[in-house]
Amino acid sequence: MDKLLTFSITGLSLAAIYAIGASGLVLTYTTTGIFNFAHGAIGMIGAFAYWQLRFDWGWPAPIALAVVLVVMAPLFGVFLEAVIMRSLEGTSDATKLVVSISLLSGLIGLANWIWQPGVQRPTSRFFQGSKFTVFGVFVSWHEATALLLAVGVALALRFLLHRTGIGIAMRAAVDDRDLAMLNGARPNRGSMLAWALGCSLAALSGILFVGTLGLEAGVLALLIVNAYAAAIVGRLRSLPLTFVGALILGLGEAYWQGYRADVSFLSGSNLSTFGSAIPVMILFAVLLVLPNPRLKGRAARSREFFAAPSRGAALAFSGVMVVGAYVISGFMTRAHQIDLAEAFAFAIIALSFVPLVGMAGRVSLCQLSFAGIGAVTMAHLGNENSLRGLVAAVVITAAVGALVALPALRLSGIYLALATAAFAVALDRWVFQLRSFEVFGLFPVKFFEAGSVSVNRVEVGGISTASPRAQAMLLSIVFALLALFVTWIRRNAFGRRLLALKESEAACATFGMNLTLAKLTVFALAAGIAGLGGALYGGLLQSVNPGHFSFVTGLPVFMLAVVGGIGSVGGALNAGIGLATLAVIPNLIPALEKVMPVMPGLVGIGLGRNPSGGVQKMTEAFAPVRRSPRALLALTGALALLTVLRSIDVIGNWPYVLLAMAVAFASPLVATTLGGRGSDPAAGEGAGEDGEPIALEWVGLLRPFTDDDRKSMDLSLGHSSGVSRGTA
Amino acid sequence: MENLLELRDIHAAYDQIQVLNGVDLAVPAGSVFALLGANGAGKTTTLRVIAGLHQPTSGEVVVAGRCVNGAHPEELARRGLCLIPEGRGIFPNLTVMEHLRMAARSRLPLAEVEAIAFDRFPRLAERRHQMAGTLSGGEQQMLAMARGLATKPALLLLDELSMGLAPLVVESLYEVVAQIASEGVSILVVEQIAQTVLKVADYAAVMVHGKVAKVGRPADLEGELSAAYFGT
Repeated sequence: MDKLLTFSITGLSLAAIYAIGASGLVLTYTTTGIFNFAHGAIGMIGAFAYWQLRFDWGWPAPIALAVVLVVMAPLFGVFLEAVIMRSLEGTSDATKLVVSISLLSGLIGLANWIWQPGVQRPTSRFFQGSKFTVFGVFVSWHEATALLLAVGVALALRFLLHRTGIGIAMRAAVDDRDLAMLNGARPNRGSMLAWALGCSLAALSGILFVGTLGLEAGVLALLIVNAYAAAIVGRLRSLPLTFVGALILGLGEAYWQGYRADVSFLSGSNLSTFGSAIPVMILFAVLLVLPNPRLKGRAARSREFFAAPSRGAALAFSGVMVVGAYVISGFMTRAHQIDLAEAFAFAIIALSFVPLVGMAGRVSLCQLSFAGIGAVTMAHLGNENSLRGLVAAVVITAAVGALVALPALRLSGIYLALATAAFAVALDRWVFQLRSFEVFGLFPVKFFEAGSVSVNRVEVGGISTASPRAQAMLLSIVFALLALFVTWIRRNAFGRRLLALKESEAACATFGMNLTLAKLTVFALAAGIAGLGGALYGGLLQSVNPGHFSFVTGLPVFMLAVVGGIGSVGGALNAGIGLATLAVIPNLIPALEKVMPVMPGLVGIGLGRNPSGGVQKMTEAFAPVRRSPRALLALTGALALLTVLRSIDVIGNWPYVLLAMAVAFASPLVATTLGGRGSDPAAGEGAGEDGEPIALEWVGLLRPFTDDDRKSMDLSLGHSSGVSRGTA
Repeated sequence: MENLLELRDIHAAYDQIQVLNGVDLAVPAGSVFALLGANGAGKTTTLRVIAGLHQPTSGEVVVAGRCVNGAHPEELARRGLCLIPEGRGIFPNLTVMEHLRMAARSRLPLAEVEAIAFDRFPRLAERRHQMAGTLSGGEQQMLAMARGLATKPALLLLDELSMGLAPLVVESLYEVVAQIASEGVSILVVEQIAQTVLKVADYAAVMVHGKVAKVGRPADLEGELSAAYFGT
């Protein structure tokens, strides 16, 4: 009985901390529609700030608390709202996610930069851990404080949202922002207040966690992922249900720790790490059980837009890339050849986002985990025959992908992102840590053997790819082929079906489309691509461990792909090159080593301003070059000249890279001056002033309306009065 | 009679698509003014421009003698201009009482707001703790009007009051509109279906292609309507 009471109290205080964290999350989500993945990271920063003031500088606890919770956290929230979140209106779920995920990884980087990791940071619980007894069981004042604070937060939020004018206005703005303004409310103020309060609550939960756990940026930031499960129980809307969810989580975790050893079938070694995965399992389970909104009739509008690449452009892109990789890798040291190969490996993994997220609009955060499964498969099945290993890697990951997708079929948007995140974290914390075991005595299942496993490199028809340059070439060719494949999908019926699925499920259903099949296929396809990438990446590294494929490692891949433009193959390449560059820069400029982890965060945060991605912008900027054969010729010539100069060692690597970039950036200017003359018919009709004929529905997007357009539109719509209007 | 609202040569566009091509309109104080026209004639855009939700490219919006171009919607709302948008201007996840609290935020004490709303629509008093999303269509429209009235507006803008409602419900809502007008509130109503609104309107205008084609007393306009809808 005492044991039950002891663990109940531990569970309750844990639940209280989860509840505080989760209610902050619910508050920001309901009032602004942005699910803040960085909520935990904000709490983590708050905890570190508190440690700095309280323990490093020795301020009294109440003052340190007040400074963090009342001044710093709310100011940070206001800053977030004004600078980042406000510009996210009208963007897709993927973009919103990326911005907050960027914030998450940026904040972890920031914390590791300011507070060096691996250093012992002494902390103590509130009231120096003093205790009192209830029914003969010791309760620490720290635990009691957490409980009281949770109750206080619950009452205060309830009062704010239902009894005050600004609270009601905040809820009104969630339902209909325009209408709230018509009522004289100022929604921006509400959002600002929500972010300020949300950050404050995050910091409070972070500080309470520090009393129980140590200070480590990554652990703390993800610990509050557990609190997401509570928020989801409340369907991200209801605060009372969120508190119920927190109770389930806290008590579940405490009882698992307390009673696992007593139950024989639970005490096996394969379940020893299961405890840390409980919250994410609950998160996954709750997502699946929750009633989901029905098919949305109205298409979600966003200001993102991806054009389908033409067959020729895709071929040219792939060809140029492989040739470029061949030429450049010739000038590189072995170490950099490996970096290049790594860039393509990540690009392949990132390519799996293009059909899944870019076309079908379904956000998955577990693609790197699929890559991990691919690598493990290759490690165990690719020893004798590497091709067989590759095929097995693709097939098995595709099957796992479909299996994961099966229960998650009806999820979409933020819920799907959370479910896949839960899956990835469950793999990290539990599955990838498992030793080999037998499934019903039929066949063995092996993962990382609680350490690292070695992976073979691919051998095709007796051609070895053992050298770094051969690896770089192999990966670039695989990427090029997959890029062509994905482009082909985008242009055929399946790709159109995926796009339709993204725009409106209801419309697809009325066309008689099999939604289940389409979703399963795209999940399996994306998982298969990721698995292939993972198998090849494993071969490149030769020895892999779970850390290579963790949830946190996967976030920058997703982020950089979205920043590059998740709807295009170029976005995936951008992710690969971006990650490799981030890894290389500290070697070149050691002073920047600490700053690098913050970089993807900053890049991602910039995305809100330009939601279609950077590659799209670049393609637009290069449009004049593509239309003008002369400019294209000049560009190729200049690059070839530079390459020749480099190969006979007239210039070094750095001047080569810088000059090549300068040529590339200058080429649109050259093309416009060349095209601007307009006297040469060889300059092409596309570059001329009139432009090539454009289908009527593209007018206004590709070039401005003219009076002629209006007339022809009126005519085709049968507006006889429109014609007279045009001439009047 | 003095005009409470005047539009002078309003032009407005969505991106490159011109919607209003010089709208001139004058709503006399204390009158019911019906703005009619077919789909796409620019009626709703006109209301959105008046309420400050859409910026005109040129022209002047004059409320009570003052030009209010560029004013924010919440500012206009605080000055006594109230738009009830089409398709029920309510918040589905707020209770009836919370709607009234929204209305009470800047102007009247809650008790007075309640009195205004529940005197006019006793049905709402019975449903005061119900979420607005669970009310019937007619009740939702009543709630939208009640919270509009509770701001004591000088000018009420109603967009397609009749949309999706049974004819009987529409008639009873228009009776309330007439009562409100008799108490001195100016009302600008946008409708596609003309019969019911013309019974209570003092003036009416017909919009065609982003312009006001005809203005006059309802009786003068009846002959013009079919031309406006079906073209000449």
